[in-house]
Amino acid sequence: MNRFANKMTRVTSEKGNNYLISPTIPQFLLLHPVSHYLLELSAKGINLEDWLDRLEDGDIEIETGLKTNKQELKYYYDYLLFLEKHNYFKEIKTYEMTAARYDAKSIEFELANTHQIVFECTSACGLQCKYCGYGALYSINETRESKKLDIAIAKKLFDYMMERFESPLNRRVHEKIAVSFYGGEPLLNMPFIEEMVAYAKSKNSRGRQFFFTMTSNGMDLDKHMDFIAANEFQLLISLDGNEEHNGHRVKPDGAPSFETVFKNILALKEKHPAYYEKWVRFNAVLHNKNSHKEITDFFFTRLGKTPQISQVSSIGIKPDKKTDFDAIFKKMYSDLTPQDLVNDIHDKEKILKTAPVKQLAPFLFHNSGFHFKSYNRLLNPGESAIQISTGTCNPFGRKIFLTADGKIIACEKILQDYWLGSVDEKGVHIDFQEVADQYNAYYGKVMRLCNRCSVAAGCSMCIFMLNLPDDCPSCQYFKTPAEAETTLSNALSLLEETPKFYPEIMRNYQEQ
Amino acid sequence: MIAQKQPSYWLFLHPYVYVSIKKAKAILYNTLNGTLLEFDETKKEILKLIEKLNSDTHLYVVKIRKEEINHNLARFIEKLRETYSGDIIDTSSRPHKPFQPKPILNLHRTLDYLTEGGEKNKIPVNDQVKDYLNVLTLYLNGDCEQTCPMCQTAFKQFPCCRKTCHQGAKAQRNTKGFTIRNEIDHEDIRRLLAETKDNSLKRLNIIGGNIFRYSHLIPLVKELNSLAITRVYHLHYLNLRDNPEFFKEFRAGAEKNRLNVTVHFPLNRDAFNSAFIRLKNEKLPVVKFAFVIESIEDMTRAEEIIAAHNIRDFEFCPYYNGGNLAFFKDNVFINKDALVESKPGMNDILARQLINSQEFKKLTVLNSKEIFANPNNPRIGKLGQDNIYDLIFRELHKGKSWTKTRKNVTPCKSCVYNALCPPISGYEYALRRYNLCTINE
Repeated sequence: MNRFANKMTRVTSEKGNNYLISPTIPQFLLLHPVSHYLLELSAKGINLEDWLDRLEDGDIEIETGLKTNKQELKYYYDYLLFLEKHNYFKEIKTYEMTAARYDAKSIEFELANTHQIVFECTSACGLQCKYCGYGALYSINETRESKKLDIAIAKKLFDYMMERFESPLNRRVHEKIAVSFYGGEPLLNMPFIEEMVAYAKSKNSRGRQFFFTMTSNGMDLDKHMDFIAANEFQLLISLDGNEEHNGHRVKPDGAPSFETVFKNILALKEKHPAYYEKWVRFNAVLHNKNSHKEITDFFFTRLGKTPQISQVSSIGIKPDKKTDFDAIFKKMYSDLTPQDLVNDIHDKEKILKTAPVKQLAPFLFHNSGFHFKSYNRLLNPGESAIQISTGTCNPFGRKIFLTADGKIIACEKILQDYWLGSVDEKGVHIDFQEVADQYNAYYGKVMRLCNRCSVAAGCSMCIFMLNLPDDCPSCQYFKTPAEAETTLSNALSLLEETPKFYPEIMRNYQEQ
Repeated sequence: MIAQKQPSYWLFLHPYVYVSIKKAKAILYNTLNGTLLEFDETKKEILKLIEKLNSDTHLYVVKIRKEEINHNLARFIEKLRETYSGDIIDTSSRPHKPFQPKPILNLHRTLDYLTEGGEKNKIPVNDQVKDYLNVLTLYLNGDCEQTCPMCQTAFKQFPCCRKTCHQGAKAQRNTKGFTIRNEIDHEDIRRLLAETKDNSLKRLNIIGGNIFRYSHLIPLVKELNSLAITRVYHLHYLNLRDNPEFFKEFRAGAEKNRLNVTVHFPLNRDAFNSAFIRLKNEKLPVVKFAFVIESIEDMTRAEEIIAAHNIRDFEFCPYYNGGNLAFFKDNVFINKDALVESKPGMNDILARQLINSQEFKKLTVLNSKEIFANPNNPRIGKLGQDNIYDLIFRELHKGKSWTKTRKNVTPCKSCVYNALCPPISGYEYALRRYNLCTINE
């Protein structure tokens, strides 16, 4: 009888410690070497009960230099039975999804409870970054026109959303809703921003307040910083590091943008220090001209901030530009050694923004057993949520994005091909059933892939980052059991090396 | 001379073990099998070791040298192994320190996370404020002709009817000739139900006074029958008179309607018998008897009635009347064995440090229209004036009921067992003491 095999994952850290990862209990356990040995035997198909019965008294060497005896083996077998009794070896459930996961009602509900309305103020931008998602490397570039979002159209969506917020479907009270300005470069359509800010403020009520966010390249910051600071915009500035690191962010004539942007940032910092400290953040793209370490060092020493780091988008690359893309692209964390990960901390306050924490937090949230997504989950542990594939947000669950040409998309990071509705002078057009059908069809496509993936349970991949037009999309994060074991082993090795991350993450880190 | 390597072990606790240390006492509670290991100052070195194990620096794993293992430590290790609460690993086979996740709660959205403004105003997911109302207890009226001694206080200990008619109050007559005093307008109830419609409300307790004397009872029952929530109507057995219209409507919504009949002693046997026959004749599907118990004699009487009438669905509601502390000590106070027998899981323990799970998501509306998160604490709002979800938001932030845990009341906060204990109950407010237990006696 192969009692425990294939029902759990055994992981060994780089330094040789053994852990058990249960498929059903979200908690890893340290294994005594003897337990580990018994599980190995079980994985080989040995019936442990019979094997123990037949075992003669006396020492038995289970690894080089590690001896044990029948009594100890019996103790650890009983321990495994104890874990079995408490469901640690329950059969793995496949991540089944029905084709009809979403229906019109669920889409309408998500929309009424969204957290953010994002406007693409303009598709125009004063820079021509080499890795821009709308640039020469990407197929979307062929259809992209420079356009400004009509304020009347934007207000139509805003009013439509207000009706949803006021409807009985809305379950959010006293929670602020973000009104976000995106581009192109949003500051190139400042009249739109000013009018929309005033409009949103006029809709503030006791139970519902709006706040503002913006992603900007910082080129025109000097002209508008007073307005931005006065309205407490949560401002995310794109900058890849110093002049050299920022080399892909260039003006249309190929001239570098660093000097202008950096000068503007310093001016903002000087004129509005409190605002800068509280609300300004940076996003740096990792590529062939910079590294994690260089980026974090630059921002910490020159601007007193720890930036968020992202990688160049790998979706929608033109086939003939693949070589150019490969020359620029660098995978997240790929330039960090384990020691770099440990050293990537400048001070305790910044610890939660460091690369290792961002890597470890999802692992701990999924495997520590002490992370709960809501009070409901904490109070009703038996009430498990429906297991779904990928880490895709529910449609409109987090935000709704209106493009400059009036298309409605679930998120600004999603290709505009996946539009879900539109807004024109007549009003907002969203067919909830169509949106549901669209999503259900996408899930139908990836279902088989997820059911074979060994890290499907903790997946944070957005379905729209997969090549959905393919009949069988592939996923760069797909893991075989052996690959998953390596990933888990890396996380546990990092925790063994830097256990201090654990209490920091559990006490202070909020999942994004 | 080359120093000989000392034999040593990694001593570790499993992550499903909960550790609590207070003053000179420590407990290790295994949340899987419910075993409790206790250590006091007679074993100082073990207390120190547990403290070390539980620290953020050591995270449930410490290195011990073989020569350190004296009788007490050996016994400690033995106990850990016997109960599957911990173990040792020889460092010669595993030289590098392993990692263990000691229990630290990370709630995606803690109460603090809800606060407005500042860095904490991030975009939260999952729970929403409107999820935070599961049970609503609605006191329709205060009118009642009975004179039960428990009337003014029992409702603070468990859901129980409460009369609020006062001598000399200006009387009005309703269409049936009953006196109307202190009742909630039907319109107010309608507005309240409209507010909570389509949200997380699961159960509605309907209580009086005598709800049969509520002016709009029948239209209200009809309306409630259309809601997909459980409706529990509470009636004192002395008030369980003929009311064919009510029973008809009650049966019409039988799937979600429940009747809770309060019985207290001394019993009016004739009245009880005729109420019982009435219930039988009306063939009501779900009736539960709630026996108010003030003494051991009451308990015996209740058991006799249960046996004589073959009552299957019942509960005992201990009632503190100000003079029966001894009865409470003997029968209600929890002792250590009962605590362990209740086998709280890790989730219970983590939750109890943050919220009062007994009170959480429950609101009470008195017939005075005052709204309470717990009727023992000051009101949090008024029906007709406040939006129910505004009140919930406020209760989550600044309230005194839902977040009141043993961690922040005396003497429980200094008790090593506090996280294993059930949440603070209405009895504790009534007795004005937070430790209805004999654990430290």
